[in-house]
Amino acid sequence: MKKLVLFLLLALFVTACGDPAVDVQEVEYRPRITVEAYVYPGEQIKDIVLTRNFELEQPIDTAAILLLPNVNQVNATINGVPLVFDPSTFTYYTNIIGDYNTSYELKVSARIDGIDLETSAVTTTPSPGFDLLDNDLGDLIYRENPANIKFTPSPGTDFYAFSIRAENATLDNFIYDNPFIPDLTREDLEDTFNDFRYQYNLLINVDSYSSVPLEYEVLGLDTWFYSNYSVIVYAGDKNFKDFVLTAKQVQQPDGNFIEPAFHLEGDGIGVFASAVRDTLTFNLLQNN
Amino acid sequence: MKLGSILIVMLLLFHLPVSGQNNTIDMSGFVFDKETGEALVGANVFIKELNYGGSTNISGYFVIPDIPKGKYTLVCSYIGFRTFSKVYETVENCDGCITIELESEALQTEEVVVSADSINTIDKLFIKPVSKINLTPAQINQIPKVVEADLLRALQTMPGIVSLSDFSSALYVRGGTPDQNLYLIDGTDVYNPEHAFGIFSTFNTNAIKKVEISKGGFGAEYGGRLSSVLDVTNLDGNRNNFEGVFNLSLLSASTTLQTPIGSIGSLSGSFRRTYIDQTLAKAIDDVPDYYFYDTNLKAFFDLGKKDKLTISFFNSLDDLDFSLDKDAEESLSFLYDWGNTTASVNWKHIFSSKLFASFWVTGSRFESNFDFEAVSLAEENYLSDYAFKAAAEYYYSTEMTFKFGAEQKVLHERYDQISNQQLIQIENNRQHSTAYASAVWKPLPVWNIEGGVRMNYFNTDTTFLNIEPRFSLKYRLTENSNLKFATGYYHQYLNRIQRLFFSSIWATANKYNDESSSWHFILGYQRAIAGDLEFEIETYFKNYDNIYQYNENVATDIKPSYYDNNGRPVYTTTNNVFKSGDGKSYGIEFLLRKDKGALTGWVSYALSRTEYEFGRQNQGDAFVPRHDRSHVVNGVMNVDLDNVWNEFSGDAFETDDSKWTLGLNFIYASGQPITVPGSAYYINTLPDWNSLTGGADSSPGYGLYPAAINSYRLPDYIRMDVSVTYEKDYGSWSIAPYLQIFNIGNRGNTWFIQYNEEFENGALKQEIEKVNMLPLLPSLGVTIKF
Repeated sequence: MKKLVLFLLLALFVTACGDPAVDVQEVEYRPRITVEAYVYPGEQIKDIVLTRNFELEQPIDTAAILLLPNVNQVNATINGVPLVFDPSTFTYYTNIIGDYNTSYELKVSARIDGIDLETSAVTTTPSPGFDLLDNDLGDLIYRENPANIKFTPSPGTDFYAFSIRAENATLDNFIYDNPFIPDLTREDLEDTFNDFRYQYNLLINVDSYSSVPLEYEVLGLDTWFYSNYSVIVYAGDKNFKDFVLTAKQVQQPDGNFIEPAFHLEGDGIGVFASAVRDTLTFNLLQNN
Repeated sequence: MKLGSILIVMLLLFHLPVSGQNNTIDMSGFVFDKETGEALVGANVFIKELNYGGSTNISGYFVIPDIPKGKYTLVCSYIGFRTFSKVYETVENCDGCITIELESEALQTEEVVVSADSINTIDKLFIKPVSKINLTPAQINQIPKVVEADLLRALQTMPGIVSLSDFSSALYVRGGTPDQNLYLIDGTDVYNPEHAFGIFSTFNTNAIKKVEISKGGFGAEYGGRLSSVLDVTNLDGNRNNFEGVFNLSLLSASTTLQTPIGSIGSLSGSFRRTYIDQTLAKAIDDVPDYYFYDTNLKAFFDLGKKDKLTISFFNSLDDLDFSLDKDAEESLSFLYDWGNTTASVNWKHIFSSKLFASFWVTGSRFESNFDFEAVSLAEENYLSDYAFKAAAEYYYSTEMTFKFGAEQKVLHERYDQISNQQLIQIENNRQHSTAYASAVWKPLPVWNIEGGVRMNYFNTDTTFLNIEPRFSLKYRLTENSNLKFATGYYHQYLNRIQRLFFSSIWATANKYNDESSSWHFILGYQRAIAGDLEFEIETYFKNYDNIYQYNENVATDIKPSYYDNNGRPVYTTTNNVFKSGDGKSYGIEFLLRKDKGALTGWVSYALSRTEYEFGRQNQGDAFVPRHDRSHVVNGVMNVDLDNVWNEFSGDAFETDDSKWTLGLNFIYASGQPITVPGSAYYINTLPDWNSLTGGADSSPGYGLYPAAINSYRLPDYIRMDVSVTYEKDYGSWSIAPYLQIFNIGNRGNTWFIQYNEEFENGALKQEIEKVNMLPLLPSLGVTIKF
């Protein structure tokens, strides 16, 4: 009896040892049409990228990533006007000039891996009205002079994205004595340089009918270099907003993946959105 | 109206004379622990000559109605106590006049094991409602633990109750989520009963007198949640002597003191506090300034034979002062604190020997505060309720008992989040009115049939009125086996936004989010084996209509209610915060349990499946939630090393003033479902990033697209814990140092996985970073009783 009990306990103990590996090789792959297309009022609708998704862990056939008219029997239209493939840029375009407050419907069909796929999406361009009040903020002292971006909104457009780019960032002009990440070394930075160089921030659900200009203050966490900065501001539609908010936020803190909020019906993933855009600059200086 | 009519008829009925009662009389009274004066719940009381009786209720009260006048031998038994036997003569208007005091007896002694008068195992199983589990504080403390003894973690060792990880004490009961569990402490709701970001629960095991968890099919007296009820009763206090317990673990120090208040009552108080903020945090920079404490106070007043009054108070607080660099003059830092406060006054009154009633006035409050100045973000999360409750039991005859009651609750929810860019200001007052009535019918000793109905009226910005039928049946199949069945309809008007590390936010049903509902169907079989072994099989099915999950993409869907003077959007509703869907859970559970002798514990196996369907999520296909576990095996063993072999060989037990005890806990669970990336695609985060070589999110130019939801499972979870305790008695006090080893096999159970992608040899390779749960974790402690 004693031996049996001891054997049983030993067996349980052995079972409760080890460090099992996690192997996620066997995940079902489903081909998709990937769309990356934006409509800007006053601009020609162009630079439309149509690609396919690709399997993880498998060699990517770069030649087969782009969806080509002849290879993939691509048939794409915007508001019924066929898209034209530009072999020099590997993108599609039309001669349609985007207009304010207008809906555009994209339809794409293509054959991928012998499977006929279809997708469609609709975007509505913002109304006119978005305007940056000052496109050059001049010299600003780090953590003394905040970069306040003032703009009039586009009525009905409540989402604004700020692409904050340190244009001449180097390892030398990095702000090492920042209060947010102490003890960051030059070696640490070499691996993650671009993570600091390019930032973006968002204003969500602003009062787009405000009678006074709206403001956005570039945060300390957005500026990591003593550098010239460009801030491209987008007044984006619902598709733009949902894509930016969710496309790259698919993994939650507990490791689980969630579906992004794309607005493509059928077999499509990606973004078909519209925005009004404008650019502002400033020069960030060290406090002497 | 229908329910109201039933209640009126029942109340009238209780005042009608019952035919044939003139020559009969009731015997009623209370059963107490002789040593402490604590009321004993569930003690078996019967008349030897008539061979029938009943059991004590939550107040230790019993009634044996409608017996012929005369002299009878009253026998009372309760596990762990010497069987009581005494001749009483019936008296008119007794109304609780009998007082039985049972003497405690060590569980392990041979006498108890073989005692013929003790309640039979099968009787004990028969009395127990369907899917209900009882645990004593001693059993909870004997289970090897993560540093601290923890009630909720102890319950996770039971079949049908699973956890999400080593870092969580939350209970997932039969496929339900933690917000579907009703936590009651002395009759008061507790919200977010979590310490240390959910690692521990707020229930101090030393303060507990009794714990019951109902995993489903619960009766009409409970409601408001879809899955389970955890009912915790704290110690009333020792009415005879001053006594205390002092615990010291690597994490905290705690004490529980009990004292009589003259001859009229007793007082108990428990206090626990962690001390790493005063020790490790001062020495090691990386250890944040963090502590938690909890306090339980309870006073019991014996106002006479017919009136008992208890006043209960509970308070807990977690406080974190985090600074990335404690020595720096300016550093990234935030403050976060949260806690619960509850209070209740309970008056129990015997209107007549047949009518026993309890009345409560309760209050409960949860509050958390977060302040992250660097990003100008502050949050206040508040939920409170105040309730008046009444519950009565009417012992109409030996065959029939009625239970009825009502509750009026006022809920106040408030959530404020302030940042430079937005304000969230949600504040609501809700009213929840309930009434219930049920009848327990015992046509024959082998039958126990209970039918009831509960009515809910929930008033928000709209109103909900729901009627919930409940039914259960118990049948003594053979001398050693029982068959049980229960069904019920349940509604829930609260939803919880669960957050990693941060306390959950509660929201109520409203015009945007309807109430949730669930039907339970449970069939059980119980068998007593070899006298003291309990064997149970239960199979269940429950559906969910309109349950809610937090909308992970909430930022894309919410709309402000208005804008403040600074132009900031202000959100005042929970519209689009939740996704609604349906689901179902089904499974079968096996439990073999032994509560007496030198070897105690249980072995269980649960096979289960839960499926959700949430609109277009997962292409509209059903999916299993993260907490689904196909197979779970639990083994809990507590061994009196001095006597275990004596018990098996039938030898007499050794009695000594010292004792070595070994505790073992083993768990196997199927791996946790998880959603993994299924493919990748080239795309830029922002249009102008097309020209860049990298992005701020470290994923330049491509995105990951998930595979089917939760279609992949992490490796199986297996863990074994061991504890060794040496207990030495020194007359009126004892000392028990202990060593515990959590995860003695040091198994690397996977908590979650993170991905680092890299283009390598023309492929997007995923380097999977496996983040494990707790490794081998030894801890020491000591318990001193006096």
